Amino acid sequence: MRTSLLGIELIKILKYKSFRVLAGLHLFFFLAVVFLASRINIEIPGFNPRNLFAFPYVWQTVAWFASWFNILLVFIIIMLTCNEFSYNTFRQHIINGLTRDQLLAGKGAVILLLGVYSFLLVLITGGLFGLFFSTDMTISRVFNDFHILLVYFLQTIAYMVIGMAIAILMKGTALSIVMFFLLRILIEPVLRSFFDPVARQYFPVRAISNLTPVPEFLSIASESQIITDGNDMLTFESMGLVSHQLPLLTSVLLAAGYTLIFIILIRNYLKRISL
Amino acid sequence: MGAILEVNAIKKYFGRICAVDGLSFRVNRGEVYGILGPNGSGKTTTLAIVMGLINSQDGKYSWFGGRIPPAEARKKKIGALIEVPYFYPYLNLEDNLKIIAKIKNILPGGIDRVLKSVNLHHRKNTGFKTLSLGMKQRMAIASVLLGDPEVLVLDEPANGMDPQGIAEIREIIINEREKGKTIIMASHILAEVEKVCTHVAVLKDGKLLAECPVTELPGKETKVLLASEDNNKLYQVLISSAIAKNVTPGEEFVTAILKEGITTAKVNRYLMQQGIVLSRLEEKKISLESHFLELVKSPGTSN
Repeated sequence: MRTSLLGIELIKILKYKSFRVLAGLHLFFFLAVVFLASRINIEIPGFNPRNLFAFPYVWQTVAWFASWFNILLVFIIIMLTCNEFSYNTFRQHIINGLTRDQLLAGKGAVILLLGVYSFLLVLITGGLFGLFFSTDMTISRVFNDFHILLVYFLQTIAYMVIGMAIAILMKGTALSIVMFFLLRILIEPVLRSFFDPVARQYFPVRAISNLTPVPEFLSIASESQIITDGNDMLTFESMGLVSHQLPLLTSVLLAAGYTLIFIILIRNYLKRISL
Repeated sequence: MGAILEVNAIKKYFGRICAVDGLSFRVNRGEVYGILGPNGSGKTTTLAIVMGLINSQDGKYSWFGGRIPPAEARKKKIGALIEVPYFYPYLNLEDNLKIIAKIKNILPGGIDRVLKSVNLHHRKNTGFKTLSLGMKQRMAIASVLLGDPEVLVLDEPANGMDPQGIAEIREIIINEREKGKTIIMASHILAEVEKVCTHVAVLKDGKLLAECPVTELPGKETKVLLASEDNNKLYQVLISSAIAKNVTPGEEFVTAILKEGITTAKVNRYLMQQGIVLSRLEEKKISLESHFLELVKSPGTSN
């Protein structure tokens, strides 16, 4: 019989009020935003916002909306990790026979659990809205942009790993959340500003946020053939609304690489500290 | 005799403060090893190092002669309480113990047993945060006993308890000792150590000042002051007798440490038979406490 790290984590989180509240807020806000957005109806000839919720665009749209609420998943991870320090329960786990790697693996299990949960949430929501809004339901069309869901999954995992790493470094919930925000909106942006627009795309937070780019509302809604006719695309990039973007695969590799590096660094740190 | 724990020249600095200074000791199977020392002498740091919480800067330790890796030993063989108890405040007692049972891979059936043994069974479904300080300490003892480990590591086990609680904890420890468990216990309360331990080590400034079986503690010996008309003759008689050891001559009186089983009445009777009439016969108990204070106060070891 192996020690079930996920089983242990489940006992901790299922009865924890703050976890239930944050998870509930995540579910509620996501569904509310998707629902409200789907009701928007702008009456401009040749412009149909309903397309945003039709296959295959719905995956991109719903994944983008879901990415707004990644921050709540990160809060959950930060809170759960910092609790282990403030309750001294990481210490107690070591006393009871876990290794430091198992402490990290336990939190990794929660991150995967939340990642799978939000993946399924986007899959089900996207699927249902797609069924409702689509007129063309050929298999190839339904699954055309399906990989975006996997990319979204990677994004949630990457953000939560950064949250966990900050939480282990800072140990306090409030401080960790502040640091996470500062990293996203101040520290990395300032660092990035010293580099040229292309190099900026290689920074960790930027690479991770590039995983769910803003859906090309205009071209999708106006049904310009973005799939077949790339030259006439009304893209935000071509209009100068968003900066230069790397190919998705490059961003995926970057985000996965950074995630791995953060895990290795924080693992070494956790091995060295006193608990 | 199997070594349960071997500690070899471990060292730990906190900044410039040396908390543990080249400490070595060995605990064998079946011993109740008491680590005694004033606050800040390095007791908790030492236990935290051997429990894997703190990395020592120098030296090594091994459990079970190094045959079992430390984490595995902690998981399967050791129950430990270091400093204050740490639990999830929002979870009830049963859920808190379930987490430990899962870590240690043991069936949750033992939870009721250990809660009963510390008189907390009636609080099984209440939140940990609702417990009083003494009850939290009992809960910690319950978690230590979970899985019936063969080694107990206890840091100030009676911390924050009322006299009745202290007595109950002592009973639990003695009970475990009787079952043949090995117990490593840190305390600054001498009476506790004296009552339950088989061996004692005195720590100060992270150094080992003394180590011996409890039976050899000076507090267990009787020291007497004797005087008669001829102290010289008294001294000669005493050193050639079988009743005393460590006889010290003196102008006013002779000091002697009595051999085991010898009472002052026996001394008096024996000396009368030898033709010595005592003008003074005074029993001096060397308390463990005064001996302990002497040890930790002695110059050269303090800063």
